[in-house]
Amino acid sequence: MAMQLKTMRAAFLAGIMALSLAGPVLAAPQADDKPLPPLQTVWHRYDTLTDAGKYQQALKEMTAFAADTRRAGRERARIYGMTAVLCTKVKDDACFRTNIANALKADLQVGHFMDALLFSDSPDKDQAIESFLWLVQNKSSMLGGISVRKIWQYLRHFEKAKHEDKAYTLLKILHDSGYTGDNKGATPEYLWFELARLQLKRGDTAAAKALIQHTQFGADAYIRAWQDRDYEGLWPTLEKDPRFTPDKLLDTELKLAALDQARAQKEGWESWLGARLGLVQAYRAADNAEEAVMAAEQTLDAVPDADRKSENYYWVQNELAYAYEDAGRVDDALTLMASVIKGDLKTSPSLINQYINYGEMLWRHGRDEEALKAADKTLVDGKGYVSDFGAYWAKASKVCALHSLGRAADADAIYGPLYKSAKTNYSAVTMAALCLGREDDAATLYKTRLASEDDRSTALLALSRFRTSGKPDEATKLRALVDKIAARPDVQKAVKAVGRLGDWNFAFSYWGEF
Amino acid sequence: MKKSTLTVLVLGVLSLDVWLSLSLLHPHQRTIRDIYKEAKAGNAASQYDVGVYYFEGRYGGRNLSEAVKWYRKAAEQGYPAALNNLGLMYRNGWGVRRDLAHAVALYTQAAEAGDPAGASNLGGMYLDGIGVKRDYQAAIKWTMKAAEKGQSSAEHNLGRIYQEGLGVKADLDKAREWYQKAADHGFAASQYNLALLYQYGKGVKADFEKARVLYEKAAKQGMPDAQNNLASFYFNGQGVKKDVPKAMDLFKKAAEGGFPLAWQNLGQIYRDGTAVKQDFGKSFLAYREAARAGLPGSQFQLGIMYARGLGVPQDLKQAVVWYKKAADQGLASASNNLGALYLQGAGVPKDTKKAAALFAEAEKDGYLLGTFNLANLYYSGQDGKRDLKKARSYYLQAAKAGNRSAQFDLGLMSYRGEGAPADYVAALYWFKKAAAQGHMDAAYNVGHIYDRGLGVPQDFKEALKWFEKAAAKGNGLALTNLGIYYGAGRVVERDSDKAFKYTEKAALQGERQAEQNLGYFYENGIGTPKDIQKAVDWYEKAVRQGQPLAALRLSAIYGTGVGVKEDDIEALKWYVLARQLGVKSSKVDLARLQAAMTPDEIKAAHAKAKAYWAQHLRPKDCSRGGCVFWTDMPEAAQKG
Repeated sequence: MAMQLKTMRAAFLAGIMALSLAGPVLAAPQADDKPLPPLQTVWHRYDTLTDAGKYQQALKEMTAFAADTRRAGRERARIYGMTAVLCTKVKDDACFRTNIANALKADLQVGHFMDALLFSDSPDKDQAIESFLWLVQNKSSMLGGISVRKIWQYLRHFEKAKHEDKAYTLLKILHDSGYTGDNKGATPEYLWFELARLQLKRGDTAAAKALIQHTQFGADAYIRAWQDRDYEGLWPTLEKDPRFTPDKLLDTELKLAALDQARAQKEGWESWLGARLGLVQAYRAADNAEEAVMAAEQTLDAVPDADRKSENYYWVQNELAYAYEDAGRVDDALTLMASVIKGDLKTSPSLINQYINYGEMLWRHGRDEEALKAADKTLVDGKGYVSDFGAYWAKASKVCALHSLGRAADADAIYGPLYKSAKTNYSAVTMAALCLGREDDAATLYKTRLASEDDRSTALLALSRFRTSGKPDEATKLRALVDKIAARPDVQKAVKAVGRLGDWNFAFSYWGEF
Repeated sequence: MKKSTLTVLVLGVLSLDVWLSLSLLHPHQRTIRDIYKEAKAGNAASQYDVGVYYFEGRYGGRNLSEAVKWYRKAAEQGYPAALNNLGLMYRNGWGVRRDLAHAVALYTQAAEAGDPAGASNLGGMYLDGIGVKRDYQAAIKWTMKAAEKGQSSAEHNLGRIYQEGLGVKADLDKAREWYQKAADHGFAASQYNLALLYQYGKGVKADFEKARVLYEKAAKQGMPDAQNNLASFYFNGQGVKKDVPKAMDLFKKAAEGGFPLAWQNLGQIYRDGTAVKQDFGKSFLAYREAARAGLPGSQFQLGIMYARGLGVPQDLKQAVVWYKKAADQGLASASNNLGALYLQGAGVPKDTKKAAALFAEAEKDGYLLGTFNLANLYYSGQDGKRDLKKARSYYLQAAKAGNRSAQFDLGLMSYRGEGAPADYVAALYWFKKAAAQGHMDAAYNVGHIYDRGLGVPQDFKEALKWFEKAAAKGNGLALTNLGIYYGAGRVVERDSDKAFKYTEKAALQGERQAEQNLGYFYENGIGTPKDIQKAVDWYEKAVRQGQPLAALRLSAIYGTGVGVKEDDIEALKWYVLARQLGVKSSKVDLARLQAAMTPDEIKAAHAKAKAYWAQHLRPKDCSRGGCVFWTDMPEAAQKG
């Protein structure tokens, strides 16, 4: 939690920086002889107390600092905002509200910014979103401090509350304001993509068409729009648009990846690695294994030794292993993954992802005994690190490996409970069902997913056909069964209700491919 | 009756007839006379013996046609050994016109009559398809018959059959067994082949000692191949204590015995000059022998020696001749070197197309240097046809195979965006690879990329590490940057002494940025006592290499007259030069400078600047662009 707080503060400070640089902040003249502690001292105190878990004391002291009228309004608003965060630690909603209200009083802009930023913790989420809209409509320089990811949180809130109209309004205002993205370089194309969907729902096809024409989407967005019936009004437009041929789409993916890299390199190695990961994935999507391998190898080589124990470094290694598979270099792929998972989970908890992926890779290439060991390593050594979602992947790999080894009873023993609680990870359970040849189970899972707003997009992707890369493996063999299921009348009916399936002439590697 | 081997023993120059006539004088010679008499009388065995005597030149000069005559007489009587020997004469065209089919027929008769030598020879004919259609099964049948009777040559051939899997499944164990049998019977070829199996651990655990013993046996019998290999063992100390003189002796024996590889080995030994005193003359002579015998490796080496004048006066035409011979035999290195000569027009008229074709041949055979040269050719664009995409593709091949220069050049192409869009991450990768192989400039380039944050996050720590590597090898740019890092305290503690030291090193190498920086250090007493005159000297050096800021500093120094005599004309001259070199300045600066100057003084300053430019700064070669030319300032601008 302490880390979360620091991150928020950093974001907040980043937002404030723009304001601070605009001009000097003059402290009000003080009458009493008690010196006004500088802001750095306040933050230092804040960190010390929160790191020690002394929230009540922190609340008391921060409240006092914030109330000190010798301090400039912006600074006080900042402190009130951070105090509101402390209120969430002690689960005091009223305290939260009071501090936000005080922040707004001290400085309207900073107050609204803090309110919007603290959306996740706020008891008044609609109010937080209103604060965000205030920033938009007042063209606040602090708007960039609210990440695009945060905006998606707002939208999901409206979606859950079934306030699509509010989601629409938010996006419309944002779009009409000329919003170009956040300070970290994330751009809003997918937001406009969602806006187009809402426009179509409202029957405003013309507006949706105009929006699409002026927005460049990547392959992922295009495929989703093409397949999802919510976008049916745009289908003719999309199909005629010359920007959306597979070649052009893949080209766009590469260009976007390059832009992302240019942005990310200013932020340091971890961010840069994330961007390079996108580039490697773009090459893989274009079925260009050779370029993917080179890009990944060059990426890893560029990183200084001191920066190599990071989440994104491991992900790039993982992606390189996938690229090796694409290139038919299975031994290289397995050797690489085996070396990656030698890392320490304690210092690098994100490695659990590679634990999971390694197990599946082993099963894919017929190394079933080793796959079982790897899956057990995930579940046992990774206990406390692996989520339920991740654990389901490991269990699914086990089911598949056991089945390959002819140990049907053992496979069934694991599969049964998985199927019963498939909602935890539909893709993993579907994979297990396919391994066991349980067509009806798999079909049921697909239909369930198709019927769900949250899951139908990945289900449509999973049932669609893509060009497979590299040499055939166990997963590729399961595709034949997926095709069979996709052709079933009951599944086709479920598909038709929400969209359509594609037959794409490029590789689309997505870890939830089932 | 002795059955002779095929070894020719020359015992004397006298004819058999003479010996026969003399035989009356000696009891031993009486026996020969009797044999001759018996032969004449039609005794087949004696006829055979007489044939042997004529063949071997025993008791007289060799007479192959006489040998044929007497063998034929015995053969016509069905004498097995004679049938075999007559077959041999027809097989080799000795004393009779070569007739392979007839040889096979004779061998067949001998074999069918139970003669093991005949059976062995017949097996050999079937094995190699000589005079008869190749038939491994027939070969095995007859060879086995001969081997069962202890015929060493047959035992040897069975060894071959099993080793090479001729008509049977290859079986090294069986091969070794048969070779061993023949070797035990003293058959040199089997001793040699068995030694090879032990040397290379084929079907048996590698054992240099055993191999050496076998080579010794075969070598003693005068087998040059064995002598050569044994020599290698002594030379390298394999299975025996290293003994270079003995090795040299054996190599010479093998060479003189007609084994070209031994000549080649001698050539290499004399050329290397590590085990014996280097002697290019001896090396050349040895290689020449092997080259004349057709060894492509020696032909190639001879080409090199002619090309470089090693042990022989330089003769590029001869270099071409020998490279061509080796290249015609498919030696990729020769194709490459020949290509280089065509490219340079050395020893042959210049022909870039031919050069490209030769490099391509070498490249196809996986010869890295050929790939690299091809890349260079496409890059430089001989005949005005540059193909950067192809150049890049070949550089990539060579780079992936580990060619350091290719790695560096590919790094440069990636950096510059040649043949493909610029890719700094790729450039970094290839520069690192080249640097790992000791390429000093590549190490600097790596540092440069990290220093500037090109394609990667800016990382001064990493940059420093690479600058230090490059500076340790004397790279001037790296030294300059280290001077900057220590001067500014960038990721290191500020250290003026180190800053000065590195900068001076670089400046002394002629690095213009370092010259400018050194001038600054002297001007301000950083890491060294203040010395304006030295500052002026270094600034001027830097200006002559096109550094505008150095010119600006000179202007300031002469303008203020600190450490030098104040001189407005000099100050303005340097200022004008700074502007010519690209410094953007304001009218205010110019006006300030010229405030106390007369129009004549201003004019003089501009004239001095122009003259200085003409003498020191006029670009000499603008073929690659990037030149800065003098621009006359309009009079109004001159006045500010």
